[in-house]
Amino acid sequence: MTKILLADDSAFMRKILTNILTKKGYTDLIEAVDGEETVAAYTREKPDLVLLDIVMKKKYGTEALKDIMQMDPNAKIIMVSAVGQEKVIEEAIQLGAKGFVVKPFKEEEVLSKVKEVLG
Amino acid sequence: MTELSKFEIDAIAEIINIGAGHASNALSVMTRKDIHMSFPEVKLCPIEKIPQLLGNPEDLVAAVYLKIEGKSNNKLIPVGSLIFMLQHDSAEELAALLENRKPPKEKSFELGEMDVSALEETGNILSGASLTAISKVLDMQLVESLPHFAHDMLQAVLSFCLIELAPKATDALTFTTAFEVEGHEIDAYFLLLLDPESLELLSKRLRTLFEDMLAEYIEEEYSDA
Amino acid sequence: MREKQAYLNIGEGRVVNEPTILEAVGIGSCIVICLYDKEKRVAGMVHALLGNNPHDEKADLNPMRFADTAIDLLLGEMAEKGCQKGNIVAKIFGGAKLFTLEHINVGEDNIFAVRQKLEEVGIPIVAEDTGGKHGRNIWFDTENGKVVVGRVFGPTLEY
Repeated sequence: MTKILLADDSAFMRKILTNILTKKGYTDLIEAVDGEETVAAYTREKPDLVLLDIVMKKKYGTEALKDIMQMDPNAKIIMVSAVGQEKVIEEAIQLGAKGFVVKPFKEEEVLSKVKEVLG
Repeated sequence: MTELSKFEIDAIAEIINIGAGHASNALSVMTRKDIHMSFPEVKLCPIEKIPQLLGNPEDLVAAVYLKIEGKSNNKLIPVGSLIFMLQHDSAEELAALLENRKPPKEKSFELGEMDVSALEETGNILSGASLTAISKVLDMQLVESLPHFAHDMLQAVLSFCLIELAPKATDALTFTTAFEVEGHEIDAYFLLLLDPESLELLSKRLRTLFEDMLAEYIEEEYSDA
Repeated sequence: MREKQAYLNIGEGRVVNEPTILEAVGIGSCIVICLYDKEKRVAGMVHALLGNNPHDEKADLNPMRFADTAIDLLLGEMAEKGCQKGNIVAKIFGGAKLFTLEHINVGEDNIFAVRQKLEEVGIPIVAEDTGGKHGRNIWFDTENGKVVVGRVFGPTLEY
């Protein structure tokens, strides 16, 4: 069963993603509410995919990305950003993120990106 | 307070309108409804009077506040603040809509944790969407703070947003955009307060852009001739 | 006796020497300072936004916006109306932190500045309702010096 880590400090955002993913059968989901917890959860749970919010407390998304990529160069990470963060997304892709979705997103956008990155 | 011509103020309002349009689209995606938006109302007013632009001082409101800064020469300079605000009833309706559930049958003065999160995230997303236009004109990368949320009397909430401006200027230029969600009793407001220095930067850039446009036009005309 | 009423918006202050209800509503991080001379029945109140006036000559800012200059102005006017500083007491309200996620606490800074200023001018604070996370409404009855504090979230109290 595909394990997905949802990293976002907004409870609302985590709920939206949970709804979208569980409807499609991805029910093994873990949540992290800040950058530090994200890295810890990745180490502990070794998820198949991470949906990583860019702006988070206690460690910015791109910092968490760096840490995870260092630990696991094969990590599959999709960045979740708000509009207007193109530069950060570029940086994230350089650091090894496999893709991104922009908020507000439609269900189909998230699902197709998840399928694409999981391969 | 910098003296801006009506032309400059109208130009800035147009840019903000474009930004507000992006925000409106974002809200439409999040609510899965059509959004009606007003053209930004521009008012130069003493900062003490800013809260009254959005309602009565004792109205119970929910608001998300974001501080905007710009990257200039590796420094962060203050650009202004954005406030996304709704009267309590609208906030309850909007939260319900965002969370895809029916609004509570019994009216209360409280907002649940998930409601607060939904409203914060909405304020966050809308402000990101609306700032791209201003960012392009200022030719500056804009950085938003994390969203700050408050739920209390309108004047109490909005007075906090005046803190940055209070030591700097008597008046501020304010841009207010109103959003309505089709089929729902939801009135939301976006208030943009620009720091006096950024306002000057904005108008200088507009002048440059206008001159560039004019130069291009003249060149075209002469090259045709 | 029919009392007059006066509403103080942000950056407004008033001194009165006849029975008046001075009102200021929606006090968040702002501070309301009520000054009262029991002997002369003269009262002053201000609804200030910040504690300290930056004294920026270029900006020409409203002095009532800042607690320190507002207090000076109120005391000046009260003196003109015959008040002696020794008879004046202060009650202070506001300085709340309404927003979640705020690493600076403006309200707290404001209260600190007000305490400092009042200590500087030798006016004792005899009552206060400050801090917290919610907004307040203030009604100052200058006939007897009593202040009623109301709020949406919380009880109505008298000081």
